[in-house]
Amino acid sequence: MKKDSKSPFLHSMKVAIIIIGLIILYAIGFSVTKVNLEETKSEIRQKQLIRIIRALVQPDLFSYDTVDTFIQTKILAPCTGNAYSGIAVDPSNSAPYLTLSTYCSNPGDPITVEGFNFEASEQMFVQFIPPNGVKLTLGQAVTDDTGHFTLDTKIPKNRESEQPQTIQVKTSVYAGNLKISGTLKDTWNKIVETLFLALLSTTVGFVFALPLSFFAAKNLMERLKTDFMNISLTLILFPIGFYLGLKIVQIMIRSISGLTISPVIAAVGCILFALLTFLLLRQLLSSQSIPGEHDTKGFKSTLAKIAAGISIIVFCILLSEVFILAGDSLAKSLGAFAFLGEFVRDVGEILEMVLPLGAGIAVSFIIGSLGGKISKRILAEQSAWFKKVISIILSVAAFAGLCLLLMNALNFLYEFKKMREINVYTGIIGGLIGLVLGLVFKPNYEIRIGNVIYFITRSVFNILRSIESLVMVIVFVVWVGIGPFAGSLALALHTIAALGKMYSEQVENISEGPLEAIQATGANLVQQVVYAVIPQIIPPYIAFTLYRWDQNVRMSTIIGFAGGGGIGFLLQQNINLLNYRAASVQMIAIAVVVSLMDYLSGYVRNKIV
Amino acid sequence: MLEIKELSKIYTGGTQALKEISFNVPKGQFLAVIGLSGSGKSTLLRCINRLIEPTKGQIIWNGIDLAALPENEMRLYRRKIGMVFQSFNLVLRSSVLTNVLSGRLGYINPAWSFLNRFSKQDYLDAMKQLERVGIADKANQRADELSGGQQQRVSIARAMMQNPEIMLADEPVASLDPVLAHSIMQYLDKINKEFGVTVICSLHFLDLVHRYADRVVALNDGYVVFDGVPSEINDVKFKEIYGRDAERVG
Repeated sequence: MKKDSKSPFLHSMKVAIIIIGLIILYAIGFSVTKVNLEETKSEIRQKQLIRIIRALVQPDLFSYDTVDTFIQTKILAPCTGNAYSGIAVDPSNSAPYLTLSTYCSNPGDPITVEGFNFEASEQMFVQFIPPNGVKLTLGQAVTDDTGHFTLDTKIPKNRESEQPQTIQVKTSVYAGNLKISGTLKDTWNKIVETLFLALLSTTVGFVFALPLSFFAAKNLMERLKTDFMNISLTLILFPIGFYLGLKIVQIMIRSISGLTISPVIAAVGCILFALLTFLLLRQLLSSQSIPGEHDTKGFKSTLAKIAAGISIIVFCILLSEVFILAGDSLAKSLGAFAFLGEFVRDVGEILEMVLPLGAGIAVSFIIGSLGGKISKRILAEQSAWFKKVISIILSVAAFAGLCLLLMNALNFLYEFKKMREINVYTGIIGGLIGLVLGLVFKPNYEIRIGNVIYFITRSVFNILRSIESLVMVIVFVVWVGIGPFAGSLALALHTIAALGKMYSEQVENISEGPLEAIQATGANLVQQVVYAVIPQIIPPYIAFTLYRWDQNVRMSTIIGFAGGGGIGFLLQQNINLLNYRAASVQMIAIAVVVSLMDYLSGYVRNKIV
Repeated sequence: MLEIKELSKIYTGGTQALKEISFNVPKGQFLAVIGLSGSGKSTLLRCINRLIEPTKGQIIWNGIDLAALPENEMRLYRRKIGMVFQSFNLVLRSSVLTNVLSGRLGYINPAWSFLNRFSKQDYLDAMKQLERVGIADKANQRADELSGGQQQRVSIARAMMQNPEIMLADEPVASLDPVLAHSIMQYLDKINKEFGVTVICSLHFLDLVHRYADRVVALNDGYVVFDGVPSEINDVKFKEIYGRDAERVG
C-alpha cells in the first residue's frame, strides 16, 4: 500500500535515473572492452576473416596421393652462334607443354615462359636446371581457366653451359584413392588421449570427492557436535596418531621390501595374511557387541583389533609387492600388451605410496576416538574443580600444539629465520588461546565441531575451484614434465574440488524425512549416512560424475595449450602455424566427442534414476 | 512411565512452539495428541526422542532425563522409541526389506553398516514384521513402488524392528484415505494392546481419536488446553482446542 502514496512524478524520475545509469554503465563497458567497429569494416581484416573461415570449413580430413609431373623444354644459354631451335611441340596435342619467347639467349636477358594445357587455376613453379642439376626457381604463375600461363623472367647469371639447359614446370596431379589425412590420424590419436586423460582425472576426482563431500554438507555436519574436552583431546591425539601410523607403516614397508623376496613367497604371504585378516575381522565383528550395553570388551578384543590392523597393513604391503613384481615380469613377457603389466606395477606402486598416508589417517581416527572415551571418563568424575583444571590443561596443550603445527607448516613455505624463537612465541600464544578457551567453555560444553569442519572443507573446495586447471597444469608440468600426465593431475585436482562442491550440494538437497527416520531408530551418524543419505545421492552423483567427465574433455582441450597434453596440444600447434584447415579437424573432433558424451550421459542417467 | 516436565521449545528465529508443557504418560497407554496445524504436536513428539532439541524442561523416562543426555547416549535410548511419520519417510530407492532392517541399526555393530549386513535373526524378524503388516510378498521391491498405505505399513514394521517400548506416531494417517487410515490405526492399536507398547499419536480426525485413544492431550499455540479421556470433548472443549470459528467435521 506504500507504493500508492508515492507521487507518479517521483516514480518516473526514478525510472529515468535508472535508465540513464544503465546507459552510462554500458558506455563504460564499451570503452573498457575496446569495442572498435572501424576494425570490423576494414577490408583487409574482412579478407583475412573470410580466409580463415573458409579454411575452417574445409577441414583437412582426407587427402589424395599426388604424383608430381615435370614438363620440360630446353634453352641454350649463352647463345653461341649456332642457334638452338628448342624441342618441337605439337600445338594440337592435349598434353601440357611449354614455349619460350626465345630458345637461345644470354644470361641476364629477359625471357617469357608460356604454358599450355595445364590444369585450370593452379600454381605453377617454373624452375631452371643447369647441367649440374642444382635447381633454381625462376618464378611462379597461376594458370587461367584454359590452363594457360605466362611468366616474364630473366635467365639466371653464372649458369653458363655449352649444352642446352632445362626449364621445367612442376605440377602435382591427384592420383589413387581418397585416403585419411595425416591430420585426421594425429587428431584421432590425440582425441583418444584426451578421452582417457579426462577419464583418469574424473576417476581420481570422484574417489577423493566422494568422502570429502560429506564433510562439506551442512545438513550432516550440523549434527556433529562434541564436548569441549573431547575437542582438546582430539587436537592432541590426532597429529600423534597420524605421525605414528605414517612412521610405523613406512618402517614396515622398508623392512618388507628390503627382504627382496621372490614373487611366489610374496604371493603366498599375501594370501595367508588375507586369510588371517578375514578370520580376525570375523571374530571381532561376529561378537555382536551391542553398542552401549556392554562397553567392557577387555584386553583380548583390543589385542585382536591391533592384530587385525597389523595384518591388514602387512597384507597391503605384500599385495603391492606382488603387483610390482608380477607387473614387471608381465611387462617383459606380454609383448604388445606390455602396458597391462606396467599398469599392474603402477597400481602396486600407488598402493605402496598411499598406504602410509592411509594408515596415518586411520590410526589418527582410532586414537582420536580414544579421546572420546577418555573425556567421557573424566567428565563422569564428580569434582567440578578437577574437571575444570584437566580441561584447561588439555586445551592449553591442544592449542599450543595446533599453533606450533601451523607455524611449522608456514615455515616450510616461507623459510623463516630464527625458527627457535618463533616456536617459543607461537607456543606461548597458542597456550594463551587455549587458556582463554578453557576458562570460557565448560568441559562438557557441546561445540558444533561439524560446522567448523564444514567451513574448512568448503573453503578448501572454493580455493581449489577458483584456480583454473589451466593454471594448475603449469605447476604440474614443472613437477612431472610436459604431457598428458601433468594434464590429468591438474584436472584431477580441479575435479576433486568441483565434484566435492556439487556432491555436497546434492547431500544438502536430499529429502530430510528418511534421514530423520533412520536417526529415530538409534542409528549413529555414519549409519544414517549409509542408510538414508547414500541411497538418495546415487543418481545425482552418477549424473554429476558423467557431466564432469564431459567437462574434463572440454577442459583438456585448453590445458593442452599449457603443456598438459591431449588434443589441445595439437590444436595450439596448428593455430600457431596458421594451419587452420588442420585446426578445424581438431575442433570438429572435440565437438563430436562432446556431443557423444552428452548423449551417453543422458542415456546412463535415464537408466539409473 | 514417561513424564514431560515444563518442556519448552523456542526455534531459532524466536517461534515458541512449546510453552512449558507438562503431562505424564503411563506405560501401555494409547495417547492421542490433537490440535491445529502449528499448535506444536510434531515438535512435542520430536522432542521426546530428541530429533528436535528441547530448549528447556525435562523428559523423564524410567527415571532418566532424556533431555539432558548427550547425543551418543541418547541414541541408545532412541532404539526403544519407535517412530512413524506422516510422510512415511522410507528410503525410496532401497528395498522394502532394507527399510525394515534399518530399524535394527541401533543394535548392530556400526562397522557392519558399511557392508549392509544384518544377522540371520534380523532377517527372520524383518520378514515376520512384514508378514504381520501383510506385505511380506513385497519384501524385495523398491519402496517407491509401493502405495501410500503399504509404505506406512513398512514404516510401522521398521519401527517394530526396534523392539520399542514407546511408539511415536506423527499424524500417521494424514496422507491416507479413510479406509487405509483405519487399517493403519488398527495396526497401531494392535501394537498397543498386544505388545503393551505405549503409543503417542498425533491425529487430526476426532472420530479416530474417539475410536482408538485411551486419552487425549490437546495443544493450542504451544499450551496444553485439554487433558482427559476422548468422551470428555464436548462442543465447548472443542472450541477451546480448535478456536472459536472451528466447526466439527467427521
